[in-house]
Order: sequence, then structure tokens, then C-alpha cells
Amino acid sequence: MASVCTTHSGSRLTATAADPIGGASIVDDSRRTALAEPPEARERAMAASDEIPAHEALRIYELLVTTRELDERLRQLYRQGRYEGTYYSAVGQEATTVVPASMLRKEDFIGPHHREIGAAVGKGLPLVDVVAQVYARVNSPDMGKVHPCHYSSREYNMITAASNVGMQSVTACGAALAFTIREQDLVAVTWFGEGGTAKGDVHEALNFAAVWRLPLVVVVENNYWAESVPLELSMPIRNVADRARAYNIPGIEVDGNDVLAMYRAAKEAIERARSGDGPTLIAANTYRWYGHSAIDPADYRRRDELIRWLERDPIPRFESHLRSRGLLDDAAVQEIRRRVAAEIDRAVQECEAAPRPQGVETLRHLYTDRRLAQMALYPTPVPDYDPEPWGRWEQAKAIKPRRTVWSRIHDQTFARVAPATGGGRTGPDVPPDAKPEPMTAATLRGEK
Amino acid sequence: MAITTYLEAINQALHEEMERDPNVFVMGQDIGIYGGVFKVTKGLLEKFGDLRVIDTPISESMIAGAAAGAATQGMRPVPEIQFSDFIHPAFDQIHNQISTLYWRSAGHWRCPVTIRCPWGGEVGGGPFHSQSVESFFVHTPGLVVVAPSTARDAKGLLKSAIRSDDPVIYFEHKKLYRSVREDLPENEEILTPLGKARVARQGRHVTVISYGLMFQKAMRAAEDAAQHGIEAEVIDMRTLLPIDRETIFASVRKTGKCMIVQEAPRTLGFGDAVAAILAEELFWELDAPVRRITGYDTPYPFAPTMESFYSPSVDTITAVIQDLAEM
Repeated sequence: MASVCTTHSGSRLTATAADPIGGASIVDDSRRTALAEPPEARERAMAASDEIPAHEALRIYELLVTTRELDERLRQLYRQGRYEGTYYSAVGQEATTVVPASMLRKEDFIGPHHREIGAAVGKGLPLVDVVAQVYARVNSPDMGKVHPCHYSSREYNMITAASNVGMQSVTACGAALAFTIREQDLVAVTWFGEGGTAKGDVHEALNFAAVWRLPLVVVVENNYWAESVPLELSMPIRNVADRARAYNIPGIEVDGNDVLAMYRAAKEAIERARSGDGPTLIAANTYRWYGHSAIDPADYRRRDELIRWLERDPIPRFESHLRSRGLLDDAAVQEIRRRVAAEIDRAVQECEAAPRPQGVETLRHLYTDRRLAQMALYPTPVPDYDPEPWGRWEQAKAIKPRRTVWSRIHDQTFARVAPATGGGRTGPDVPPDAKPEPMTAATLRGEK
Repeated sequence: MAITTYLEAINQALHEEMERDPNVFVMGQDIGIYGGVFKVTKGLLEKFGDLRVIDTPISESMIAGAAAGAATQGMRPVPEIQFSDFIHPAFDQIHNQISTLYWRSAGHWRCPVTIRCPWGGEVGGGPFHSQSVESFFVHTPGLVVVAPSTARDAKGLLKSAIRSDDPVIYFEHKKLYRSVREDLPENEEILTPLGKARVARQGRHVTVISYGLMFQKAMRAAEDAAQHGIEAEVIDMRTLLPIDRETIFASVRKTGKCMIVQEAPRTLGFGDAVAAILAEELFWELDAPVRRITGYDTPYPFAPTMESFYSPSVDTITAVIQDLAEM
């Protein structure tokens, strides 16, 4: 287990020197009106609030720690070449996803994008499903069909995302429509970044959901950067919640790094949706610590901006709140971290041991009707497949451990599988046991 | 028996499937109060109410994509895109979300949505109300693409599409709405199987492959050719993806000659797929080059003189049948 999450280094907001990462020529600030400012004013509200019930607060804390630790571990494993593709880290943004997802029922729909590992963990997906998706092994819910960070679970009603930004806003709108037609008190939640609010799909979804008062909660994770494009170049407004006014729905701007504020906003939005009073847009201001993907050094951002956000890490802030309520002490924190680390270890080990899908898996599940699939793929013979694996998985899970389940899915047709080995990412500059340390404000300032 | 137009057949299919299954619902622009711009959805709102017959804003991507979202929750939506020319904003949802969902979730998620899409020309619609866009969707793995040519199949294919667990793009030809009709027994459950072409006319000299309006023209051309002693075998494709090779191969093995008639532009149209398959699989049984009769590689024109110039005519089809037969 790698080192634990960043320690909170206090509330000093003194780093002011322009300090572009990697050279002075990288950042052209001329068109930016201001650095993305962490919302300091809302700090007081958090200290005063006591509104999350104790057991739920502790559960959310553990889910946050789990998300952070798993995310950091997956970053490391990518650097060590343990899986292919890339990795989209959400470190720093956990509260915006974990908190709303943790407040939902299992049957509620969630439509994530690709930076929503916290939605998966928050909704309660087994960690092995999350890791297996990233590893693209046979125990992945998508059998390696999609590149990393497209977590999904039919059981938890978390759809597998199409990568194109904003798409799941429309899908979630449709799920909410289904709940409305069937008069079910279920809700749909979708996430995307502030960059996604420039998409036509998001407008079409919000407009229709508002007209129909659909039970939809839209969480915009405003991390101020649409990959490398700053907010000022994405939209003519500064408060993303202002988008809601055009749809005549509530728009809540919230400090997305403040768990209590996120909790309040999500509670209000989910209750509104569930009681039939229509959609809400939550604009959660937050920050992604690392690059857009694993190959992005994020050198378009200024280091002093990053340092300020590192000091607003949502997890230590929530931890100190819980300590002040007497819900956590050093021993309890150690116990949670030990438990989380062990759970992540187990998930990673299981996925490392899982076989890779065979190439011919490509041909499975093109159509539910295998006759049509065979017609489409002629003359290549299409392997047999279970048109409805979920039903069988459910049945099997009730009586058997998961390993047996995926072995069964991965039937004799594909018995000769490649042994599990590391990915192809290992290079001369990356030792196989490399363990890059998580980013901290202190190390960035050169204090360590 | 009752004389039923192509349009009435579609309307009947919607009524029957919505009665049969409460999960079936329709959504689209102008389909409720107005009954659809072509009146295809007439009477549905009155019968099934505004929770199952949904007038939407002008948001094609949402219409297709939200229908798909509802489908993931067990509904069976039948969204309408008002004209095939307007489907392009929805292409992202159809191509990236809908068509791939079952495959990329390794079978865990299904997307049983049927997207109705009025298409085709010879209706005086000009470049933005006459397009044939089927090729984009035939090039999209995971979709079923159907294009009925007769009233019976308009009904039977729509009912099968709605019951299918796979996403279907259902192209209904605007020119055929009121120009083709046939006796359809009122009490017969008509279910045209997906993925099955139909040999509509037996013949031994030339195989003519077509769909939609061009199928109706091909049938007339085959009658004309018969006056000259040429027996053309006419295949109504009905389903464009996946392609029914069996029916095509059986016919071309018999005739040794094949032509494809489509109103879509020429390059990379459906005809190219058929021609390529024949070149690859049946080359040694062909007695003549495969011929394509198509629209031009131009946008679709408006002025009636230009429209009739653009769209393949019965005479052109007859002439190519004769050409091939004499080779």
C-alpha cells in the first residue's frame, strides 16, 4: 500500500509568486481575468454544521478515503505499466461525486462520465468491478471493451459512459423520463465538467428535463479547466450555476471541496427530484490535482493556483469536522485506512490474477439476437454468448464468490487464456515498482 | 380484409404495440396534439395519453438519446425524427451511445429503442427534406436498419422492431405513405422478421435489389422488361443491416446478374456493400458486372425538373435490366 492521502498543511494562502510549471513560456494568462479561487468564505458554515447523521458521516468519510486511495493506487499502477490505455484521475474532486452518489438508492440511475470513480465507489460498486474495468480483464463488467475509467454496473444502475462529453446528460434525462412515465419515485443523477455545459446535448437535456420537471440531478464538477481550456474561454459567465436560470430550475453554487455543503446541496436536489418537483443543477466548484489523463502534465496551469486548491483538500477538511464532533480519533482513522488499504489490495490482487479477454471477445454481444450478429459478422464465426449475462451473474452471486462467476462466464470456448502479466507501459524510465508520491502543497512549494 | 395504406399500416402498428405493452411509448416533434406532420401518430394521444405520447422540443439528440435512456430502464421507446434530414444532431447519441451499449457492456445493458425516421425524395422537399441517409447507419455496428417498401412490411417490420431487444432505425419512405396500399387482414398479427429480405418477383435473367420507393419502381420496371421477354427477379431488402446474404446469393446464383437500385448518392451507398460482397463471394458465378443505379453524388435538388433528373426513373431501371439481360 502506498502512502496515504495528502496531509492537510494548514490554511496558509501565501503562495503568490507566478511560478509556471516547467518554464515561464507555458502559461499565457493574458485572457484570464482571475485565477480559480477556492471559496474561502464558506469555511465557517462547515465548522458550524452538524447536520449529517453520525453513521452516514462516517460512511461518507470512508467512501471518500476509499476513492482517494484507490485513485492514487490506480495512478501508480498505470505508471508501473500494470495496465494499458490511460487513466483519468479525479483526485481532489472526490466530494462532488462520492457525496451525491452515496445518498442514492440502489435503483436510482447514475450517468457518469469518465472522471467519476467517486460515483462508482459512492454508489457502492464492489471495488473489484472498478479495478477490473481499468485493468480490462475478464472480470470487468465490460469485459475489456472500453478503455479505463468507464465504470458501470447494471446491478447498481450505473450506465457505462460513452466518452463524448455530455452524452450521459441525455441518457440520464431519459432514465428520469422512464421513472416519470412509470410514476416511480426514483431519480437520475449525471455528472460532467464545466466544459461539458458548452455542449448542445447538455442544453437539450436540461431544457427537456425542466419542461417536464423530470427527477434529474445534474452535478457540474467545475474544476475550472476543460482539459487545457480555462473556464473563461469556455463560457461568458463565472458562476456555472447561472446556467440554470435559462431553464427556470434551481441552480446551486456550492464549494465542491466542502463535504457538508455538497451534502446539503445534494440532499435538497435529490429530495426535490424524488418528490416530483423537477431537476436541479448543482455547480460544484472543485479542482483536479493531476492532468486530464495520465499523459497530461497539466503544465497549462499555474502552480500557485494548484497549491491553493491542494490546501483545500476536501478529505482533511471533513476529517477535522468529524474529529470536532468526536466521531473520529487517530485510532479510528488508522483503522479505516487499514481497512480501505486491505480492500484495495484484495481488489488489485484479484484483477492482476484475472485473465485478459481473448481477442475473439470482440465478436460477442453485437446484437442480443445472435442470428443477426452472425449475419453481420459473416464469414467470421460468432462465438456463443449469453444474451443476458446479468441475470446469471445475479443468480450466481447469491451462492458463489465472484471469482467463480467470471470463470463461468468465461466458458470453455475461451479456456486457453493468456497468463496474467503486467501491461506494456513499463519503460526504462519507469521501474516496475515505481511509486510516485501523491501530490501535496508542501512538496510543490519545495518544503520537502 | 381492409385496404390499408403504408401510412395507416405504421399507425396501426403503433396502436397495436402500445396496446400490447405498456412500456411502449412514442416521443418526437409534433407527434401528439398535431398527430405528426404526416399524421402517422394520429389518434395515439387521445388513446394513450400524454405520458406515452410525448410532444418534445426541437431537440433531435435528446429525442433519440433520452429515448435510449428510458430504454435502459426497461421501456420500449419509439422516438420519431421528423425527417431523416434532421437526424444528424442525433447521430452522436445513435452512433456512440445507442448502437454500442449492448456490445460495450458485454451484454449487461440493452437499448431496445426503435427510431422512426421518414426518409426519401420525390416529394418536392428539396435538399433538407428528401435525403436518403441510410448508409451512415448501415456503417454503424450494432444497429438494425430497416426500410419497408410495402404496407405489409411497414406494419410487420415496425412491430418486430419494437419487440426486438436491439436498437433499430426504421426508415419509412415519405413518398410511399399514401401511394402504396394493400389488403391487410384486420385480425392478423403481422410480424416481418428482421434480417430477412423477400423475393418479391421471381425471375431468371437479372436480379434487381432494392428498397423503399426504388423497390416500387423496380417492380414496375420488371413488368416493363417482361414485355420484352426478360424476367427480372426483384428482391425487397427490407432490412439493410445486417445484410441478408442468403437471399441475395440464392438469387444471383440463379441469374448470374445483379443490379442495385437506390436513391441515395452513389459512393459508399448500400449498393456498394452489396456489390463488394458479390465481388468477393460470388465472383465466379457472375455473368456480367454488377450495376448500380443511384442518385448522383450531389445534394438532393428541389426544382421538379432537377428532382426528376436526380431520382432514378422506371425507364432507367428498365433499360439497365435490358442491358444486363443482353450481356
